Amino acid sequence: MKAPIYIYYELDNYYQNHRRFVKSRNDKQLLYGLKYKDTSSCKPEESSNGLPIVPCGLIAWSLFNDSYAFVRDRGEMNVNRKNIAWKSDREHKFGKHVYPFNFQNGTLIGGGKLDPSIPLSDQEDLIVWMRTAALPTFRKLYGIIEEDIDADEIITVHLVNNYNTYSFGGKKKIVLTTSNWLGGKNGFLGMAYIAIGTSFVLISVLFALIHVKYPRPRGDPTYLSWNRKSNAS
Amino acid sequence: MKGGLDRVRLSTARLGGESGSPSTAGVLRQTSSQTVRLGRVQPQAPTHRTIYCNDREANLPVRFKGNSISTTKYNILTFLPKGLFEQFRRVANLYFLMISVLSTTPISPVSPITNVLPLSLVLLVSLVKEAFEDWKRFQNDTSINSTPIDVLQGQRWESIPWKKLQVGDLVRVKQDGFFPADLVFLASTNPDGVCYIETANLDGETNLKIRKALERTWDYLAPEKAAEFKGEIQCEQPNNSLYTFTGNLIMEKQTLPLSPNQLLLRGCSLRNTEYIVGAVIFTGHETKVMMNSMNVPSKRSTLERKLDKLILALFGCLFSMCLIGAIGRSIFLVRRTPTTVMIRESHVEKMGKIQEVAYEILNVLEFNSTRKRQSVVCRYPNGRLVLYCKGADTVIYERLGDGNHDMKRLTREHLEQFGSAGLRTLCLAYRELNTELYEKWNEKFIQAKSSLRDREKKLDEVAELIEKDLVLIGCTAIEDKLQEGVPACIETLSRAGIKIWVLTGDKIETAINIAYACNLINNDMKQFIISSETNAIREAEDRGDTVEIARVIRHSVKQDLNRCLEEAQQYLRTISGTKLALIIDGKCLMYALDPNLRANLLNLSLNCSSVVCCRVSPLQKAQVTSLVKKGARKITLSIGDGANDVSMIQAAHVGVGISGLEGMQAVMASDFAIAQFRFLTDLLLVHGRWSYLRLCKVITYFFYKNLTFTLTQFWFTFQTGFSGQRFYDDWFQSLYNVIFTALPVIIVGLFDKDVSASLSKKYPELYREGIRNMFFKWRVVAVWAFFSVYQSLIFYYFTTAASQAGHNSSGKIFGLWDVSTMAFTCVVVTVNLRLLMACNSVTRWHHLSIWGSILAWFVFIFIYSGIMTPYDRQENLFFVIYVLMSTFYFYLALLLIPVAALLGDFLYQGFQRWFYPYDYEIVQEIHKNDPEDSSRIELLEVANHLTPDEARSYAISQLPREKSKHTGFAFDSPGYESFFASQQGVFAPQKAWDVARRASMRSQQRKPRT
Repeated sequence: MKAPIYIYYELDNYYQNHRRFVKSRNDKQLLYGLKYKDTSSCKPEESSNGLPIVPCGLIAWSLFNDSYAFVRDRGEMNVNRKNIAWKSDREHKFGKHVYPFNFQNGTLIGGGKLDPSIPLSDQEDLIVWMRTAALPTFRKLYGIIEEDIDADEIITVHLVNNYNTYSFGGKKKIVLTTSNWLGGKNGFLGMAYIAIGTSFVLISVLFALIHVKYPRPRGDPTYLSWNRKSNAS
Repeated sequence: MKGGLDRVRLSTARLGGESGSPSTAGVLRQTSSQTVRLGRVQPQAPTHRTIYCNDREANLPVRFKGNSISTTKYNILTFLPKGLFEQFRRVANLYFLMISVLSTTPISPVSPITNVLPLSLVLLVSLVKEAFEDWKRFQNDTSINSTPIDVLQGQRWESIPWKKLQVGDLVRVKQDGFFPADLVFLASTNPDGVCYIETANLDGETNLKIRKALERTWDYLAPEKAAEFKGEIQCEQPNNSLYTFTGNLIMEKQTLPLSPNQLLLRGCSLRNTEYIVGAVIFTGHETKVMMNSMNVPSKRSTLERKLDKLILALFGCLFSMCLIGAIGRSIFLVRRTPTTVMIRESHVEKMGKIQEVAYEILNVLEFNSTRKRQSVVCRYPNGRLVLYCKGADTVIYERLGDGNHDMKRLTREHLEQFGSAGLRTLCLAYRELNTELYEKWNEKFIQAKSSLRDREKKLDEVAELIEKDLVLIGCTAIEDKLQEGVPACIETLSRAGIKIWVLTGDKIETAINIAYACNLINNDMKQFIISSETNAIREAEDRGDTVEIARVIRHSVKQDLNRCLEEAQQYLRTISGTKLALIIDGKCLMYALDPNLRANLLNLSLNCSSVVCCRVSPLQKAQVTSLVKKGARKITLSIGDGANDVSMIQAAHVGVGISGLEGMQAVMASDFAIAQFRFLTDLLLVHGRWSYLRLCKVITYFFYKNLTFTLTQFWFTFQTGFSGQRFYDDWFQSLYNVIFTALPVIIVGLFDKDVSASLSKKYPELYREGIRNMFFKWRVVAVWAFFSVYQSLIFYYFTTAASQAGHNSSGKIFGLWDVSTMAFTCVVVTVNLRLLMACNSVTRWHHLSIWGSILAWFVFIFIYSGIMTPYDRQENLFFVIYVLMSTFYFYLALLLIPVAALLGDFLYQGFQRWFYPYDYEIVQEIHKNDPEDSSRIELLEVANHLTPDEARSYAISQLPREKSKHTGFAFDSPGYESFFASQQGVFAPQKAWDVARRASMRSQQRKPRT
């Protein structure tokens, strides 16, 4: 595999698109920080110990925090965890001067913690996590390996299993893939194109057969309903 | 003058189908047991009112109503509640109200604005329209109320607005002016105290009527003289009977009887008279014309009703979808398509000129339907007394003296010739009177005339005494010409599968002749004639016992019906293909409409290809229409031009008025107005059919596009843990119907046509597809629904499946809003393209609107996702389209998904057209290579069909103010007004004219009316 190699984690049976979950965030706070006071949409993770939480809400609170290390014979591979989120998110949705505050300080710990000294715009794993997925089975970009991997090479993955998916019977997967100008490997689209294309060919054959087998002259007045009826009677 | 005309149009615009209805006449005349009621009956508190003329103070204690009128639907207070109530009577609005209410509750996933905004917009537009219309009505009322009228104050005529007029005032109305209230006619500038009035606004009759003042009041013309007038009028309470009036004028201790002949009704106008003086008796809303006003019934098309059902079905569908969601959560969550046409033929009236006649008219014996004749007694300057009588042949022949058999035989022959030629005939006769006989008779006549009880009956009896031993003069015949193109039009319509019934006031022979002329009946047809002109019935009538007559007629009608029905069924069983026709007259119809016989009548008439009802009253016309409408559950269309057609026009599903020669009454009551009968072909076969097709297409398409859209959301719900998370952004949802998919369907609703106008008329059978409701069957809706399910599955699963593993070239992954925006883009593109598949004609407007709508979506999303608003909204959509468009995946999916989604519809349409083509599709194929603009040429031809005369008459009919300037009598064909009025137990209106006058008129060259 040629670099860059993308590392994804895949969760299933994880309803990141649940209504209560989706709305439990506050985009203004993510951009403006503590200056923005009205964070009622973040309930129940709005404040803890009487102090507001930044970033507030269930999405941030449930931040995925497994970590992976990829080791090959020559040593551990360098995983780049920068530039994994969409540029527009980093630059416009998460503030450069907003720092995590009072985060994950409650009695119930949902997921990963954040370094309070790094502004949100640089917390890319959070930004990736907060672009909520459409379906209960989803992939998210973890990082990028910027070295080639040779064929038949054995890679050992050391993972820290922090994130609890047992409670809801979810599964976790790791995916390593590359991409080209088209994007990643997309089996479905290819299949769909072939299937639709094939069916068009079949349909054209079918119509051709029908034309031969059941010919109907164009504009034959005997096909008019009133003519048909009078013929019958 | 202009204001004056407008106001009368308005005050009669609301005059309903009751003109001439007997509802209150029965109460007044104590013959209520015989009258049939139509509409409401006014409560009558005291039996009469007393008015002191020219004495405002004396009238003060009674507190008569003022003369101002108001026809507005709302006032400032009631506007909002009443207007909103009207709006929410539509199921669709109610449905959206419910949704909006639900969306304001915390359980709703969408913000209320997305539902409230479109609904408010719709309501606002509707209410503004209502308010505007009501404002126009109000302004019209105001202009009517402030029209000036000369009223006597002191010894001068003073101009005051109509609304200030009070009961008892003496007013002066000038030539061509409208009567501001119901007046008692006192004096006129014409000799003999007569005036001419035009009642076109009341009953549609354009011939002028004569009113004659009482001789005692002739002199009160000049203001100085009129100021001396002190009289007391005792008359009936206000009521809505236009043709009756009973009252007495008490002046100088003498009681003078007042009849309708002295009554000038509001809504009529003065003609050929410099001015008249009258005393106000009924004002404002108490005038007869206003008492007749009835709210025009609101009609709903069958399509609209089906739409309501569809909305309910949609609602049920949504409800069950919600229910599935809820259960899942607990585990985890319009055409009109007329099929029957009622028609009556139109008359072309010949107009003559009035000529002043030197001799003196002594008495007028009125026409009514029992008498079927009219007489006048006059004295020549040399003192010779002659009675002239005109009437139906049967009546006159009965009263002829002996002798002169040759003349009688010759006239009889003429009558038969005229009758078979379809002409209307009248017999004329005279009788020389000697003075002694006349004086004796006149005494009785005056007694009868001033009696307050049974006046008409006594008058009839007295007339009988003198109308005998007549000498025949001869007979007249007038041609009642059918309008141009009527037979061809009727033939075309019957080819279109429309059954045509003729409902006419003519007598049976004339009606049959007309039916022959219209191709409705021919000699190959088996004709069933149910007539009251049988010996048994005539004998019973001669005996005069009303109960007995009723029994005999009912019995014979019942027998006839059963016999005809049996025969009809026999004919239908044999496959000879003989067509059947039913001809029934009004008297028999009255009994046949009886609840017991109604089913038989309906059964028989539905088996007949033509039905002709003759001698029917306006009420019966309406009854027959309702019988077909309700009993047979067919769509009915009534077309007519006279005031007596109003009730049937209102009773039918579709009422069409011909803006012809008989006034504007029918037109005002109608849903559609046309200038000539033959334009019915264009109205039904071209515009009716097109609009049916368009409506069907628009409604089914709306259903499809919303179902498709909603279903994608529904499939998503299954994968959100049934939490009700919305798939689309709020604004996508609310602008979907308003911007992204709105314009193309409007274009289709306006311009789509399957075949051109000329082909629609060339193949009238195409109309049958509409009658069978081919394009809005549940099956059609089901096919659309099926494909919207299919398409929504494609949209949802293709986008989500493709995005599951998809990422862009730098490895980044889509989130929920990226996927949903992508799905929405596919929906918008597909739904717009689907319309292109549904159109029969594709013009540049179609292209413009379809590609424009798709473009509008992209413009919207570029702007919407490109900006951050300062308002508190979740920035879900920020930059999504740019993110999407940075991936090739987006373009690949956008190319694939609409194609895959439309594959099903493409297949279906291909198969359907090949194996089960619609008629219009065949016609399209036949004429595929015809020059494109043939329809335009055809339309021009239609316009060119109008001769200059027709064009002028049409233009005139558009301008009532010019139209009503007549200068002469129309030859009165058998007295429709009086005939129908009397059929319903209402006394016939006074028509004080005479045969001699008419005879003199005939020497003048007749001017055909233009």
